[in-house]
Amino acid sequence: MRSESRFQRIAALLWLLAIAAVGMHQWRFWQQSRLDANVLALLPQAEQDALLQAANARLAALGEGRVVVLVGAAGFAKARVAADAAAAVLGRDATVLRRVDGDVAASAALVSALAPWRDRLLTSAQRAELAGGRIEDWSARVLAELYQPFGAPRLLPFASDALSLWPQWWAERTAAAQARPRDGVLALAGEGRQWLLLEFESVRSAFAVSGATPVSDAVVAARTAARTQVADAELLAAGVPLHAEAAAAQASFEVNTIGWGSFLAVLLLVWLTFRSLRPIALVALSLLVGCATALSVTAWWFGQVHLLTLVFGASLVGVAEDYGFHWFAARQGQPQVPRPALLRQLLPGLVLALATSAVAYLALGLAPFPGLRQMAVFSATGLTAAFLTVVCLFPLLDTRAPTRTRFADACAASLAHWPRWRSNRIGWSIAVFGVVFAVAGCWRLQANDDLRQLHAAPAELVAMQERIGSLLGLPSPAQFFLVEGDDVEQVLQREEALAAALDAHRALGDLAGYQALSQWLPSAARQADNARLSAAVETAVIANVATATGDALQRADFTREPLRLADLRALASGERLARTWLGSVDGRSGSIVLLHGVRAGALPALTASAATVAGVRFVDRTAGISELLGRYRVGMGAWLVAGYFGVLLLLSLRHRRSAWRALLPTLIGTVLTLAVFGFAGWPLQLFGVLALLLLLGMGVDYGIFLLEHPGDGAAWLAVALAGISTLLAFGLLALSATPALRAFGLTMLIGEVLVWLVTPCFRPAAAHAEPAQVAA
Amino acid sequence: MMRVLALLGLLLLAAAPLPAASELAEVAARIEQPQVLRGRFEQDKQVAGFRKPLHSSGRFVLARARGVLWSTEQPFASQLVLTGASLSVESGGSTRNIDAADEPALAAIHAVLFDLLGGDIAKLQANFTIVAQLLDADRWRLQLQPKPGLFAQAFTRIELEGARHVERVQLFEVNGDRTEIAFREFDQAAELTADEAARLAQ
Repeated sequence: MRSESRFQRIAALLWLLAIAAVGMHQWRFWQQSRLDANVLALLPQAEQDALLQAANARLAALGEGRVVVLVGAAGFAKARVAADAAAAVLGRDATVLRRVDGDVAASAALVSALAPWRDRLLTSAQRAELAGGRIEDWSARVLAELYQPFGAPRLLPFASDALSLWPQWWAERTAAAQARPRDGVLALAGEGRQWLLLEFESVRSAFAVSGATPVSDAVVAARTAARTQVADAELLAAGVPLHAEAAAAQASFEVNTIGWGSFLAVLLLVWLTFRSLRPIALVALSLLVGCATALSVTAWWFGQVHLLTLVFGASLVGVAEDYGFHWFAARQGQPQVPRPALLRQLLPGLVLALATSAVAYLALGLAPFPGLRQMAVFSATGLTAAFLTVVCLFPLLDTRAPTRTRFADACAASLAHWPRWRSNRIGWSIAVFGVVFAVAGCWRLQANDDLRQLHAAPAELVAMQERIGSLLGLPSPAQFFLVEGDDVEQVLQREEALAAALDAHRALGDLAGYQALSQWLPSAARQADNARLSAAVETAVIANVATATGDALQRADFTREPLRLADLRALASGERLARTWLGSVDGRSGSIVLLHGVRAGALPALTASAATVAGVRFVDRTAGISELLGRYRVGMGAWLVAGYFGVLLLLSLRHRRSAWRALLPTLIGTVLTLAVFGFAGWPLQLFGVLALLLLLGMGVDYGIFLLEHPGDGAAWLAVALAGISTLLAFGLLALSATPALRAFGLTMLIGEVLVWLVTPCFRPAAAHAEPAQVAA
Repeated sequence: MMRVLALLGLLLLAAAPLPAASELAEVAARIEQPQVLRGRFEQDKQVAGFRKPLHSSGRFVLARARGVLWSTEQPFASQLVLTGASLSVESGGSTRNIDAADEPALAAIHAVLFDLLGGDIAKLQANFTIVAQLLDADRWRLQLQPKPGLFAQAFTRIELEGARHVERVQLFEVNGDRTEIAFREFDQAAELTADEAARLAQ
């Protein structure tokens, strides 16, 4: 007894130290607020090869932090006034947004930086013209241009670019960008309006847990400012920071509703049941320690905590309260038993409950989705910490047992009145009806593996992004070509082969354009060919012009070295130009080719043509992820079935022939939940299947408790309270704006209600026996 | 001392030009805007890399709101037809057509030729800051400073001189090239000839 008390004190001291450490970590965590709002961070990495991973990482990095704003009005002057007003507001707080220089100034420096390689940089149209054109025609054209009041604008002296090829090459390079310099700003026309382009970078990289949305607020204020100046002005904004802020604000709201909502509900239940402040304080303590530890361990394990983990984790409150409930329900039922003895009695049951729930949560981490793994670690850790708080601290702190209350008695007594299923006509009628309902419902069940279930972007933001995308001709980050090769040269040559195929489709209007490194950096072979072509024609034409004008003219010299990747990257804006280059990964080199303005329905033809080029593959991230979600939906479904057999086997070892009584309610609950989904037209998603896995882990508990303690009102009271609070937590999760969490919450909600209602119907016939010993 | 300074200030004020806007309006009023203006031109282009200026001469037709026909006769024949939608160059038997939508920068620069020839100050002001100077009762001079953007990339400045019509244009390009065009033998008309109209309608 004495050594036991000492052991208890040591355990309590150690756990208090751990809590202190968690508290310190929490203090720093909330100040740094290392929260991840990137939906793609939830997606699996393991299944992709290294080059594809690099491509996805690059695309994510390209969009990060960038906020693109378009201000439009009926005319350029009006748009400019509105844009100036908007820019002033957007740039007002330097700790939120920073104006990023447009390409206006950068391009002038680039033109002269690339000039030494002018003869090696030709458009494909120019290559055809140079190869096929007659020298006389070229000479006539050049002379006519020389004598015109304005020639084509020259970027280089005549001797360096007699045919004015250079401006054309640049025109093609900048053609992808719809926005053109106009009066010192970038402007474009579209949708019957004139638009000015403003580009900003979000200064903050982390997202506030407070749900503050400084960037979105600035955009709204800028829109108001623009409209104040020009009544019909329109302001469109797009960018990852806007999405991230919206997600963070939504998540913050949900964490608060779900977390604090179920927290208060749990405390209310405790108050109703025990009518004492001590249980409220201690249960609250176990929940806070559980959640804080879960957060700290997750942050330490993964480096960053995803917002959706927090939202999902908030529902933990409704599960982690179990241990506290069990303790106080037992104390209320047996106030005379000394606390250490009571703990000894309860411990096996509590450990078993913790083990099954933790295993059920950890099973979520079977799918290689980083987000799910976070949720699994978060939940399992939180449960363990709440359990340890109950076991280590409650026996020392809970000095006075709660008295019996009417609510507790009514709850406990309700078990005896609960209907039991009997093998008679009514019983079998209900069974047949249930089977028909289940079969009919499951028949209608449909699957949905759309990526969008992970992401609940506000429709308004998505609409603006689409308009900006089409106005600016931005490439889609979700669909691209991945080009692979042994080295830079091979990748560039393959890009050029792909570009030839894409050019043919562009001529047909299948796509507006594409972005590829080889547009800036042709392969060395192509460069050598270009140099040869331009030298041959230009030397002859210059000689003719010299004869016609009576001037002594000579073609300028160009560098003999080809432009190399290192040369390009060394330029001031070189890294931007080489942004589609992935570098060498695992000995393979690769690059991405981005598409923009793909005509609806043209994609199959594009990919078919590209498939003929060696080392090129088409990547459709949206489709790829959906396929993955579908594969795991089926895979986890198989795990679920295997789980049922595993649990049945385990239960059979202990409960022999009545094992079915514990398992059948959960099975019924699962099948009927699927049927409800079928009738309601809600699709089955991976997250629904995962919820069913969790339901198996938790639902069986109720059956186990009623099998372990047949007819025991106190056990039923604990089960009832646990059930109600779990329902609340997952019911609140069903209100989430994230479709995946909503599906999860809804599945758990319906499943839990059904399991909870059905379980006592299958309790053993010895329901009226004397309360059994609690110890298992 | 103070008096001297005050006097100096007064003198400086007196020497300062009158508000530019009123002079600009005066110039705009002096320039005539006939439906069709024909004439001859002499052009000297100083192009980097050429020791001698490239001299050419020929005829032009400016049709209000229609376009420009620029026919070089010497040293060899070539035709430039410029309308709002397209630009075509004919020389040595071959013709190049450029759609304004395909080469907006080129089209915009050529559109300025149209405005320069017609002395269309209102349109030029969209792209240039203009300082006007009245030389005598008839003659004037305009200095055009390109506003930041496309034209600032092409020109450092443009100078116009004339009376009832623009008689001299000087273009100073950023790359150092300089073009001087003199116009003479003006002939106003109400209508284009059938041939001219057909060429502009192409």
